[in-house]
Amino acid sequence: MIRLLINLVREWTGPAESHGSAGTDGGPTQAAAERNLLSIPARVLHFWVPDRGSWGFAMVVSILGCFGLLTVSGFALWLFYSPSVNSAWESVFFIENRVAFGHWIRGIHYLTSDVLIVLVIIYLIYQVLSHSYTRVGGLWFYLTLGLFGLILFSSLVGLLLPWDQQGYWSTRIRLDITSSLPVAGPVMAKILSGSEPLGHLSLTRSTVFHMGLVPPAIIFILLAMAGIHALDRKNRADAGRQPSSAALADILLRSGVVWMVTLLAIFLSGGLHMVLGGEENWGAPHLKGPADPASNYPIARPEWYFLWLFQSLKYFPGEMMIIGTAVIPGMLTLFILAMPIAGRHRWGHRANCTIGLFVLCVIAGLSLKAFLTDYWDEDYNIQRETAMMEGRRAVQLATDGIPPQGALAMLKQDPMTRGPELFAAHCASCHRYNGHDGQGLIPEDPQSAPDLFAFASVPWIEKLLQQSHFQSGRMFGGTEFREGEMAEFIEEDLSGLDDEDTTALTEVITALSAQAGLPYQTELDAESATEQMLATIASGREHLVYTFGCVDCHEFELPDEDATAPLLTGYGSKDWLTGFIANPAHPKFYGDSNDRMPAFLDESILTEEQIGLLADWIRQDWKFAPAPDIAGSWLKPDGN
Amino acid sequence: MESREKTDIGKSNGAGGPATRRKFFGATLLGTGVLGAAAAAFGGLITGLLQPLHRRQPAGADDTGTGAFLFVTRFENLPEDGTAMRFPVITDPVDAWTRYQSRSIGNVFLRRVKAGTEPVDRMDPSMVAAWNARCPHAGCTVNFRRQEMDFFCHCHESRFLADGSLPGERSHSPRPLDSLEVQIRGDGEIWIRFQQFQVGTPEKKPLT
Repeated sequence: MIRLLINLVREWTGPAESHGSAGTDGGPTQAAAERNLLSIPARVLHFWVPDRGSWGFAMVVSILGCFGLLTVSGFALWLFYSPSVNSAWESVFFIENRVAFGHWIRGIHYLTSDVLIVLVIIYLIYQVLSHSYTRVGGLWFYLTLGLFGLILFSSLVGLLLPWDQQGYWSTRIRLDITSSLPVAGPVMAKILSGSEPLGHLSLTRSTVFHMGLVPPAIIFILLAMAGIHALDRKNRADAGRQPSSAALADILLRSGVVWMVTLLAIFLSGGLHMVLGGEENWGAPHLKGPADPASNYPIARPEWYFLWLFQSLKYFPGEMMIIGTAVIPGMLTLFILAMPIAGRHRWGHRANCTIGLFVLCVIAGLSLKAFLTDYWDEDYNIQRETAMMEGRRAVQLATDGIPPQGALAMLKQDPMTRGPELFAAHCASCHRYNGHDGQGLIPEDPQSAPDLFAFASVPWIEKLLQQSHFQSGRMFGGTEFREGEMAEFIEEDLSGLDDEDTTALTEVITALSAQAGLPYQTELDAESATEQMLATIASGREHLVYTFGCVDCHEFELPDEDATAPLLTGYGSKDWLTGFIANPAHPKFYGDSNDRMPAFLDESILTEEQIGLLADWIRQDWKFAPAPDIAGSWLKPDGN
Repeated sequence: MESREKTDIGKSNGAGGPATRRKFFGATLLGTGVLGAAAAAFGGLITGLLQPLHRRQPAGADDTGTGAFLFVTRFENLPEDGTAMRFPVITDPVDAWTRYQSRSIGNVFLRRVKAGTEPVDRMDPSMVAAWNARCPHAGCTVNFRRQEMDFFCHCHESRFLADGSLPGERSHSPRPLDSLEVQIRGDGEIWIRFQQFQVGTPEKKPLT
């Protein structure tokens, strides 16, 4: 098949390049030039072509192509990137969401770097297998290795630049491991990190490494390779060994094939992130939340090419850790460096191939093990999903404009993000939120206080006022109020109501819920409610005071010194909730009859800011809030 | 270098007279200038690169992590059953040119020791155990598992007992959790001397 293609292209490009060293032979090439438009590139290429139109050369062409793609897309990104703690994440957000084709440019940049690493690895393996790694005394191989090292370094440094949780934590751990290496470890870690703890200076430094120092170094290596190549050819020509040049068709075709495969790989690796990584769009992985050094990011994992080292750390516990961090990588490096030397001998070459294959298998096995361990780990997947949601949330909030303090501060003030954490940590040992702890987990302690999902909404108050629900574990079943005056009142005065009173009760519930001013019950808002609704609310207030006599125990609108039960004025509003959480035993609320709930502010368990965030979260009062899913919760009319 | 210059001068003297000499001095001057400028620029780059090795903390930045005691929480907030709880360490850290206000610089785990004993002496620092929440293995953050009553790190599955020590069987960490100094001030305020330590080494070495 390929042979056929080669023949076809050969037909098309005309006669193959004649033999002889580059540029020196005049006659036949000149003649060809007049016949064939392709002969100028042909002459240029002819100079470059190694002895045969090999796949190796085609790979070099693709490596150059990738480098070109990275340079162009990199410059495009650089136009918008701003390296500082308060602007790195923010500028990458801007690139992704506000710059024309920004998402695609960043995607190409990110994915190309991954594919380039694979490509260089394959090229190195190819050199070993084709026994060309001894070429020019191994120099060619060493230069390729240098290229590989630089690309790897640049890629690792580049990961920090978005300053999101993933980049921050993988860098944090990588630097920690570096600093634990013997001899030069601590010094290297300091030079790489720029400041400790990581901050502004780490970003400025990484920017210089990534954009300023590495690209020229790569160009320098590529030039060196070109120089060596030219010298090598000349030497061979001088020695009378005529290099058998390949047909131009061969070169073009093979280069074209490899380049197409490379492009396809770049395209497909984006798809791989979608299939295995749960990404929604093709491109670089979605930004995680802005880096938060104080957070707990249990899903920090190294990049795929270091996954095997990460996995191997698990096998070297305690003081043997250095085997995984220094000895194994060191030995592997030494082995690779020694390969071209050993490869000069027949048995050395065989040993290289055997050991190399073995090492590759081990690396592949360890990587797979690390990947599958996480893939099947339920905890890991939940935490990963949380991290991804946080990232999406940060981006969602950022679309509204990021405050000057930066995205992290923005996220820290977001009730939707902070509420679940605070609720799980401080409330969920007694309360629940739609049956869970706010973060989706079921706490170990049994529920002993009301479920606060959609607290003070119409369906929530409906449930509260039903005997079976009031005394159930979902509400006050686990508290002293189970047998309290309210329970008595519900049993005696709210059961077996006639139609008229049932309507009246419904109106009371509506009126009471209107006190909360919940953002998702706009139909009850004084400003947006219909005439009919306003009438219902007004009537409900009447019934609350006169028909049902709630004010016998509760204070409502008029000051009431003798009230023994919680205030109903503004029930469920932010003021009410923050006051209640601050001190439920305040005379306005439960007073002396408070059960076990601590005074979160007065006992300085939570700060005012935290209580405000909790209150906003319980009220679902946050930006871009979807309406709570009542129908999917226990608050649905027939739920329990 | 010098000696070669001298012989060069000698040669030019012999060969060409003042014109050649002027040319030579010009070339030397230009060469020295270019070399000097390059050396200065390169020296600047190297100094810049190595700056983190000798950078001093800015004045007043003592509270960013090492040395000073920082208020963390109150004694009452520690669960009575001896469960360890994670608390952020809040201070006003400086990052290069930015001074943050009340920002967390890390996490500590606090735990009541001698849990369940009566009476509780809220002023006795030995009633409280404190650890840096960073895993001494590779620097991830450990979690406290209430069911197992142990610390667990999700990164490499390091495990520590409730008192921070290494379990009898193999653990991934080369040393126990990094304990921190505790002071109790006022009416049960817990103050911690917050420090970061070199991870991945058997010995507990504070980072400065």
